[in-house]
Parts: sequence; C-alpha cells; structure tokens
Amino acid sequence: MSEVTEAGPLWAALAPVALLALATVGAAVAHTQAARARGEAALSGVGLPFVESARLLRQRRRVTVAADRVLWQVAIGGLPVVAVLMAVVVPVGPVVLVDSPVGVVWFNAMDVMLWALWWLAGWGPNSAHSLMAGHRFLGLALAYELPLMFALTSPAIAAHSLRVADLAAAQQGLWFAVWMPVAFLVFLGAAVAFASWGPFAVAAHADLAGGVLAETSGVDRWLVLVGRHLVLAAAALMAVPLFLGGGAGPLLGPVAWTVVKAVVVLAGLELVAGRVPLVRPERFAEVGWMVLLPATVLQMLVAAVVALGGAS
Amino acid sequence: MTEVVFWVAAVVSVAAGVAVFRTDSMARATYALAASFVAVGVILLAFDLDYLGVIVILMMIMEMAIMALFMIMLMGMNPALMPMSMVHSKRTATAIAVVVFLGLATAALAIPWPGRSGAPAADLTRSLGEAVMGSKMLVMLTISPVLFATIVGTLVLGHPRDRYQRYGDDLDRARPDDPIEGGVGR
Amino acid sequence: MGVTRIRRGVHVLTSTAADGVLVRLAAERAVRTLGWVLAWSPADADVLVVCGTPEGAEADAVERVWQQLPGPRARVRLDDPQDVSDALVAAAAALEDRAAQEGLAHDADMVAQMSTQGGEDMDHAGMDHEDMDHGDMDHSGMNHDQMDHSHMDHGGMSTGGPAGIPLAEGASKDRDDLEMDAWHVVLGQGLPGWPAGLVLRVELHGDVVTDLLVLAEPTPHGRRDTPVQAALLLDAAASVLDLAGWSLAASASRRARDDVMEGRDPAEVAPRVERLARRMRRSVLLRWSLEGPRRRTTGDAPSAGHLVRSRAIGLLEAAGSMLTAPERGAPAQRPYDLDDLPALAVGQELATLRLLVAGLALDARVAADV
Repeated sequence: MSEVTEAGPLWAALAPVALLALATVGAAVAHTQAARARGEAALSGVGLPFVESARLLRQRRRVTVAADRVLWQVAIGGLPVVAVLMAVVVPVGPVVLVDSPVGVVWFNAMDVMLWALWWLAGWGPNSAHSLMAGHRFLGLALAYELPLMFALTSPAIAAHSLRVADLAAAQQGLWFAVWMPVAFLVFLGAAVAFASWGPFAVAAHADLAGGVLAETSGVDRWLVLVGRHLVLAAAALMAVPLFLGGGAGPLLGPVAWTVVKAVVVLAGLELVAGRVPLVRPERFAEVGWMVLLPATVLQMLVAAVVALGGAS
Repeated sequence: MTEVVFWVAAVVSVAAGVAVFRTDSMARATYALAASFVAVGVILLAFDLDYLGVIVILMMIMEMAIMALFMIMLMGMNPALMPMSMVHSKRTATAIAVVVFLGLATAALAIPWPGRSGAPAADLTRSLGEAVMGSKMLVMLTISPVLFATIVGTLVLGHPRDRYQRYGDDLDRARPDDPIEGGVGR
Repeated sequence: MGVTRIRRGVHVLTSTAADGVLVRLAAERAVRTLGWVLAWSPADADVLVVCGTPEGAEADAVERVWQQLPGPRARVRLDDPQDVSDALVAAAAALEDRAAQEGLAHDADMVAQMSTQGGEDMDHAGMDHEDMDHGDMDHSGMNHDQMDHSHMDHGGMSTGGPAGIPLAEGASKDRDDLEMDAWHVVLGQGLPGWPAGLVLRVELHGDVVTDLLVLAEPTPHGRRDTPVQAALLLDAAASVLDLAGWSLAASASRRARDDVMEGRDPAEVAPRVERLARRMRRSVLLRWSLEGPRRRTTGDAPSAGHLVRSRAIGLLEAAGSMLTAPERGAPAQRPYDLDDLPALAVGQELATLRLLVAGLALDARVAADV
C-alpha cells in the first residue's frame, strides 16, 4: 500500500476549479491549432476559450418544439459533473480526494456514464440530426468500451490492486506505458472517443450539422463544450498514475510532475482534432472487436504473466 | 453519514422506480430505471461494498443506454417517440405486485435473521474475489464458458445475416457481401 | 471602422441563393480575416449572412433559419462582394445594440409561443398553424420537425404525436432486413457545406437513407474566369474535407481559395494545392474511413465512399492544374452527377449522403457542363 492522504473538504471545493484550469489549457491548445490553420497569428488562439465562453454565456437558450427538457438538461449538466467525478480518484502527488480501493473501476463506471449522457444529449432536443448523432455515438461506444476495460485492467493486474495510488507506486522501476504500449494506446484512443473528440467526434460533427450540438446554444452549449474538455482533462490526469509512473520524476516534486505529465498528455489528445479524418463507427466496429479486443486481452495476459513472475 | 446516504439513496431508488411506470415516455422510463439502479449502487457503496456498488452502476448505465435503443427501435408504429402509458394488464400486475410485496415483507420481518458473527475483511474486493474464484473455481470455470457460449450461440442463430449469406452457399466469396464494408474486411 | 475594436470569435452562418455563390466566397474570406468562425447550424450562429437574393420558398427557408438563431443575432443580406467587410462589421455592432437585441428576443419569444400553440391546436384541424410551423415547404435543413408533415403521405395514419408532429410510418424491410419506421428529413439551407439552391427530401430508417427526392435543383450559372472557377473547386474540396472531419486540411483548402480570390499569383498558390492533393491521396486513414480496408479491383462497381474520395482529390487536382495552366481551362471530370445520387446514397448513412452532395461541387457547376 502506498501512502496517500485524502484531502479535506476545502480541497474538494477547489478540485473542479483546478480541473477547469487544466481543461482551459487543453481548450487553448485546440483553439490555437484551429486558429493557426485559419491563418491567424500564432498565439491568437490562446484567448479564444475565453472569447468563446463570453459569447456563449450571453447567448440565449434555444428551445425546440416538443423537446424533452428534463433529459436534455440532465445530459448537458451531467457532462462536467461526470468529468469531475472521473478525476476525484486520481492522486495528485501525495493527495487524493477519494482514496477508493476500486478507483480504476470507478473511472470505468464514469466513462460508461458518458454513454448515457451523449445519447441523452442527442435525444433531448427532438431533432433529427441530434438523435442520429446520439445513436451513432452508442455504435462507437460498443466498439471501444471492451478494449478500454481490458486496457484499464492490465495495469491493475500488474500492480495487484484497483487502487489508483497503488498503480502509480507499482511503476517505480519502469512505466507501464513502456511495457504495456497496447493498453496505453487503447486508453488514449478511448479517451478521445468517450469525449467525442477529434477522429471519434461522432456525436458532435459537421456531417450531422454538429450532431448533439445542432440545437444547443447559450449556456447549454457552453456546458457541453466545457464538459468535453473537462472529460479530456480528467482522462489525461488518469493516464499519469495508470501508465506514466504517477508523480515520480527528478527535481520537481510529485505534484508538479503529475501536472506536467497530464498537460503533455492533454495537449496530445487535443491536438489530434482536425489532423485526421473522422473514423466512421461502422468501420471501427470490426477494428474494435477483431483487432483491439484480442490485442488488449493478450496485453492483459502479458501483464498477468509478469505479475505472477514477480509474485513468486 | 452512512445512514443519511442510505436513506436518501433508498428514497431516490424507490421514487425513480415509481417514475418508471408513471412517466409517459420510453426514454424517461428507461433512464428512470437507470437512476433507480444507480441509487441501489450508491447504497452498496455506503455499505463499503465498493466493488459491487461501482459495478452495479457501471453495468446498469451501460445496459439502460442500450435498452433505450431497443425500446425505441422495436416498439413499432413509433409510439416510442410519443407519449404512451408504461403499464398494461393493470389488474393482474397489481395483484402479482401486492402478493409478492406482502410475501417478501412478511419473510423479511418473520425470518429470524442470524446476528453478525465476524468482522468484515479488510479488503472486501479481495475477499469477494476469493469467495467467488477460490473454492468455487471449478464451478465458475464451467459456468462462464457455457453462459458465454449460450449468448454467442443465440446471437449467431438469431441473426438474419449468417455466413452463408455473407460468403455464399459454398463460403467461397473472397469478400463478404455486406451492405457496408467493415473496417477489417472480414 | 478602424477606431472601434471589432469582436473576435463571432460565429457566422451563410445562406446562399442561386446568385449569391461569389458573395458567399467573399463573405467567408472576410469571416476568416476578422478572426471569426463559420457556424455548423443556426443554433451555433450569431450572424446570418444571406448571400444573393432568395426567392419564393427559398426566402421562407431563410426566414425560418433566421428564427432559429438564438440571439443576440444579426442578419445581413449581400449582393455585392465589395460590401461584405463593411456589412459584417455593422453586423458585429448590431450584436452589441442592446435595444435592438431586446426587440429581436421579443420577436423570437412570440414565434416560439405560436409554434407551441400550433402543436396543441393540431387535433382541432389546426391546419393554419401547421402550415406555418411545420409546412412541407420547409426548406431549412435544421428544422426541428423530424417527421414528415405533408398529410398526403400519411394515408390512414394521421394520429398526431407530441406537439402536432405526426408519427412516422411503418416501412418495408431495409438493407439490414429490419422493418423500421421511416421518417423524412428535408435537407437544405443552414447545413454546413451545403450547395446553394439544392433541397432534398430524404426518407430514413434510423440514419440509413432509403429514399431520396430532389425537391429543388440549383440552376447552373454561366462560364466564369478560370481563377474563380478554381476557387470554387477549392471551396467544394474544403466542404468535403470538413464533412470528412479533416478540418485542418479543409482550412488549408479555404486559405488557398481566398488567396486566389484576392488575386494572388495563381502560380504561387498552385503548389500548395498540389501538395494538399498529394497529402489526401496518401492518407491511409482517409482511404480506410471512406472506402473500407480493401483496394477496389477493376470489376467492382464504385462505392459511394470511393467516389467521394476520388472526387475530393479530383477537385483539388483540377484546381491545381487550372491554377498552373489557366489557358487549358477546366479539365472535364465528373465521376457522378445529381441524377446518380439516389442510386448511390440509398442504403448509406445520412453522413455519406452529405459527403456525396458536397462532392458534387454544385456551386462550381457551369451551364456548359450540364
């Protein structure tokens, strides 16, 4: 058992703000890339998350005919909440908000919550394009979820624990990312997918007029867009103890190293947007089930054999 | 604290369960059921059954997300998208519900439950795993493949597009005849 | 205009009439230089730019799109590419005009109220409301009505659903042997990368297209100068790339288009276009995503995805060669036409239909080609 202390309620109030700050860095990276592609000055995109927030917060809410307001609002408000819940089990240096003995499974349960939320965001507005996008997300989810589960299981097997802090502590010698590359890559890909981002942005894409965003405006749209960056930030944060040795590193100290590693992973996740074409769910289904699933099961086998070897 | 969580979650789970039948929309009924199950998962968490609680939340959300699709897809004539009653065969259903409730409630109150005779293990997830996989390993190793084979077999038999349709009567087509080609090409 | 600071990040939706294609190019160029963004749907937009003069049903559609902008909102109508920058700056100022925005918000509330009443009156022969809110002449692609509203199509099934939206009808088996309910969606103005003047009525099972009807076809225009024609091809390629999700490549194509329209030396732009075409041809992921894992053999009928990919590359190559050697004119290429659309799109997802439509490059179509 590695030593982490549970943070007090004051820190709990601060945690969403800290995650929002991380997400803002991510959003700035994505906006900068898009602005540069449009031909704007190199750093002009840095301020865009704030410009966009100000714009959306003064915009009116759009109301559609016969919308399912309750479920729509659940989906919109749920995205940021689930993102924060994802992050509460991740230790930042020696501190963690919830030191759950099953933190890895908790993270998994929260990413499954996104199945419901993306679909509900498509269902709510009673709009053809939104509904199709919500359905399409579930099609993709069926293909990435099982590989993701096995990718999360492999480090847990190697560390003999489901507690996130134990996973970080188990990588003293060698990062899991190095000797479990398949699990690491599947985790990153799935993070992009459950945030509906970049090549897996099937729930919110131009080919369905913005999908679940087609009818969303004002503060609702802000919550969805912010929620998406928060989910990416939470996943990047989780990647640090899962695969990148947690807070271990020279000179800087565990908190700084956790943040630095998370920012690097997050920037990578954000920069994938727009660089590659959309992966269509009907194509990806076979890849998920016939390539990634066996690959992650083999990865798990490797982890299990190594773990048994270490135990005996 | 645990008691507060228990009672709040208990009330939420029952209220959401009632909402399943009071609401007039397929989507709301499905997700009310999901909310009810999540509340049950929270109760398990309050009992320190971390693994079971989280797994209940995970599985039930996943299941309801897919079930909502089936509800909408298979209802026919599209009532899934319009208000409709979530109850039918009211009289029989009420009778069964009352009898089952009374039976279970009587049993719960009448049975002399044994008192607790030990302390919970330090790591409940580990002891759960050992209880399921330790002495019952042989049973689990037999049952799991059989269950899995049943699911796969049912799907294979039930699916309208079998391999003869895809690869031809002699299975000699070079590539499957699919409406949309998959990403691997098998 | 130089004195006041213009807002950044304004989202602009363009709605283009048959005579407004070149105005749209100018507007999109101005949007880019102002640091603004093109919107994906009316709900996403602050400013509606109406390019050209919409007439008849098209004007109704523009009005409907306008009603769907959440507000603060502004609308400008443009006939002349010269006026674009000033008009956009004026629109940005209108967004800040508190009194005017309150008036517009009041209008929007009135319209919303009427549409709810229209739904309730539906059962009591509320045909007037129906025509206004859910009429079949609805040419905006983004309307909230999912179901088909023309009563003739419904036969015996005229039971009203929620808010007066009729139920979908049962349909025969589709490509997956499923008996799904069919629904109808009208696609037109307001969708990203949609050509001017085209209106489609699509029958869908879920998101699979089962039938397709061209309600309105754009009228091709006269022959244009070679650089302008090349810019239009680049514009069409950008639309395909955007819908395919490769937005950085789409931005590159749009920048090349704007440079051509600004009168930059075509020989300078051409290498960039050719490089982009090369990148597209080499992209394994683009090929896999659109065409599937296998290379097409000569005997196969071309699939929709194959046509979209080869067409998008073809658009860039044609633009490149027109820019390098303007005297040669437009190379003849048209792997498929509007008439082929039903045959290609039926059985495909709606997203594929959108790609096919963008690949038609209807905005670049000239009369002589038809």
